[in-house]
Amino acid sequence: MTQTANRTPAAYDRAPSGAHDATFEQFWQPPPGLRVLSSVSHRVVGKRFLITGFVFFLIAGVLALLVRTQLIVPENTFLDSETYNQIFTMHGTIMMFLFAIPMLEGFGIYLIPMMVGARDLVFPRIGSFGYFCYLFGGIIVLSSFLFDAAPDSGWFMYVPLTTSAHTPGMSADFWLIGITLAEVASVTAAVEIIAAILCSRAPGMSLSQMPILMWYLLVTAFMIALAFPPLIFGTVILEAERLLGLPFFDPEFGGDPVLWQHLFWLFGHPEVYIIFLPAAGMVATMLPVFVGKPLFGYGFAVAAVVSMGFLSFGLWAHHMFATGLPNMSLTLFSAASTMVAIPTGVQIFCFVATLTQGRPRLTVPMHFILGFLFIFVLGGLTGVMLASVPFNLQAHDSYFVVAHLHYVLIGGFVFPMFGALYYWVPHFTGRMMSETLGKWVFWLMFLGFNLAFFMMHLTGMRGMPRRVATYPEGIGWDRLNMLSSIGAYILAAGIALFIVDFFRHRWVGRPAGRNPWGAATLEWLYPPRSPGYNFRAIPIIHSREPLWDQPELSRGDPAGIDGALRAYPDHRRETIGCDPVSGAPIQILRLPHPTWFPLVFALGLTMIFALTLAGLYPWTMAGAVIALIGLTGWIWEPSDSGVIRQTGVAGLALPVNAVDRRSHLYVGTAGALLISFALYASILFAGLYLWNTRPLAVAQTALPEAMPAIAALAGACATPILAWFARRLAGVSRLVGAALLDLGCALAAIGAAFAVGLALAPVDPWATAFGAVGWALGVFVVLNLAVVVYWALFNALRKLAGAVRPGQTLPDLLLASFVNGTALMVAGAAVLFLVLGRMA
Amino acid sequence: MTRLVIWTVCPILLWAVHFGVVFALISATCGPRALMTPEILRATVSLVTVFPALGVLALLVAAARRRGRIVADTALAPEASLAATAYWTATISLLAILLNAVPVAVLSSCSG
Repeated sequence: MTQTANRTPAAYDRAPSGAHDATFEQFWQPPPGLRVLSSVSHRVVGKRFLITGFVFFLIAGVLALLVRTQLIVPENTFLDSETYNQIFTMHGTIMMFLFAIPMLEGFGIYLIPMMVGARDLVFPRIGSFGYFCYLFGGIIVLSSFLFDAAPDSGWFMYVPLTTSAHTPGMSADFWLIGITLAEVASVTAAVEIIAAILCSRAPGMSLSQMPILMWYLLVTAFMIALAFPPLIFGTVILEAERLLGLPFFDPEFGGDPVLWQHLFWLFGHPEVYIIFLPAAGMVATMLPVFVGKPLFGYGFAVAAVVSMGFLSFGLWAHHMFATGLPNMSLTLFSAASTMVAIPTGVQIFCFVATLTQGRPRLTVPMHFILGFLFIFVLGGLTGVMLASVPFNLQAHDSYFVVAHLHYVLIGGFVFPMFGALYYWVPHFTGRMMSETLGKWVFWLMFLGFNLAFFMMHLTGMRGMPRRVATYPEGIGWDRLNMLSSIGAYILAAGIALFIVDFFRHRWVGRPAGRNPWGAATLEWLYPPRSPGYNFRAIPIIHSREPLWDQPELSRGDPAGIDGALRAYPDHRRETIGCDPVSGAPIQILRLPHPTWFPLVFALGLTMIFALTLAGLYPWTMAGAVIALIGLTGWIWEPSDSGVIRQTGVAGLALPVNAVDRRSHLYVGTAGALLISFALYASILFAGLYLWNTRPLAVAQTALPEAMPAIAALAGACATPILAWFARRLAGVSRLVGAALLDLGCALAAIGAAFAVGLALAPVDPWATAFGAVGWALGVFVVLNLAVVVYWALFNALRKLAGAVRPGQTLPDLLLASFVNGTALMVAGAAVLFLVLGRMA
Repeated sequence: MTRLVIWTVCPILLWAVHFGVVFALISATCGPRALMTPEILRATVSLVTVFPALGVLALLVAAARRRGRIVADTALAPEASLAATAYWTATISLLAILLNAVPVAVLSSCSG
């Protein structure tokens, strides 16, 4: 700890201060009135995600009821086929992209700081920015109904159905553009969750002392960072095919529709685990509370969740068994699909073993946990059936698959989510929801769900295909569909009763009191609703179940508990930053106060997306300018790095925003690079796939120029060297020299970008899909170089404007890391231009 | 503790790399380019399976020994759960790596 403080090159005592007339409570309060939109507090942003996600859930639920109403009797004319296609497409799209992921993000954003002992997330503005991207993206997708252009090609948007030739209107564009914008929220949340869990835990909370939910969220965040980029790349190139005519998926020009399926399911299968794992983490958090014993096999559960996180990436092609892949590939994916059942089983056994350790209290959340176990295990078993290739080929595209996926997703996410809402709702309202009504909600949902979806197994086994708007009578499907629809209405009644209970409890619900469930984790330290700063002093943690094992935390006024950062000499929002593994404090994190810049940045991005959708391409520049203003205002703030402050714990003094590779900013930069590399890998995958499957078209693709490719390689090598020297000079207080080297780095990046463009000049992206992918790779690395140019110029400007003081080298450390990653990608692209094309 | 985290992540990371390599080799064999014959594929997959499998086995043994030491020394108790994590991740990864090679071992050609 003190080592870090000593390593900080120079300590200043000139950190900008907050309002000195404000009390601690006042400067943590969210701003009043409309200015609440500028709030970046995790409590505000988390609630926004949860409420918006739940509204989308209700919308998608109504769409599901329309589908079930259409199918209640044979030959029904309630909906025409076109509307039916739109309804089921929007149902799936909203549930997967606008409900499930944002809800888990909402829970994560709300709960992480409170459970790890932090006062806020480490990047609160990113959370706020992500929320607005999600909201605006969702509005774009939903607004398609207003323009009579709702997407109708299924939530997976299979090619060639979604190409301009087969879907000529704007419906697919609404989906592709809206969902891509909403995906920004997911990847930003991933970086935020990773950095928050690894870098802001309370003193003493090592990785092995973390609440189990943090492991689930950490693994999920890494999965989001790796799984969403293939989809982002896929949606961008499909939109490019629709708008610009680039032939990525056109077989006539060496493209391949199956490439879309690969990219989509590289995201789509891990997505199921991304949805399920946090929900299972919530179960693992709630279950011990109602059993009164710690989770059985914490280490086993962590091994299971880490293994599932990885293995789930090896299953994507089991959604593609009917596409004509070689049998050997099918067997490989079948084996991996079967393998994932092992860690899943380990995790379920941990839950069952915990249940056997005590006599569970049958509260409402406990009902939902038991419902989860029953339904999810059944869904998992049908999943193992579907992992078998012969059975999968029989059941493919039938209602059996619909039943399976709903058992997994509703059992694996919706039931735990309702349990979690009942469990954590006192945090939002300070009151308890009704136990009696809650049990009615559970039984209506449980019985309704099983009636609706168990029947679908049978309907599927009787041969009913998915996505048909109606069916003839008398072929054995009538009664089963009738029962399924009745079940769906009962399920909906349960959800409606939940809403009634929610509004009812806000007025007449019993006040929750301190730790109403007798929980063990830190979020229950204060009586709900706990104060906006979460912890007046950040407690020192010795146990995984601190409220059970550390009696000093449960005695007396929680605001009086000993801990770190009770004093606030600078009147700024602060929390403790820790070593990612041991949890030892290494720095004081300065957190931002309310700001409009995330909203401005998100509005600018939304303008770019919406104006592209409207075909007003020149106006997208206005959006870009607004986005750039928002971004620049966001990051242009006085640096506090280097100031040393007392923590109030055992005489420990720590630097503010330490220049350290274990710091949250470095971890955040590494997270951003991880996403960037996943995008890069997605492009390489597309190129290699086409190279392998379309050799004739590849042979017809013009070769990139060799000399500019070599120049790009040289530029790629120069940028990290210049960034390294800039960092060294800044470290020895030669700021002007460092600024000049930053400018040199920007120039080298510009040169490398031009060289990439020149190398690709002979390649016609409209001639072959392989050429188009080559250009996609070029554009991607140039975009990364553009970030380097902007960042290097920004760093240089700050140094020249006197906004940086000697020793404040954190921006240089971060830039150097990003430049290293970018240089690696540019060099890789240049080598591929030199080698791969010539291997054709 | 850092070592235990590495021991937890490395085996499953090796599985991921192994899975990617086996998928790439099968695609290279069974795609239109037919870059290798099934016999060469089998030999290559055997080769690329042995090394990660042995590596994971070594990590498994190391994690097991660490667990044993933690049981004997109460001062190391906070690491116990991570040692169990490392051990079980290695076990699952080893199984998964061996399973990756099964399709190539049991099928004589791309079409089965």
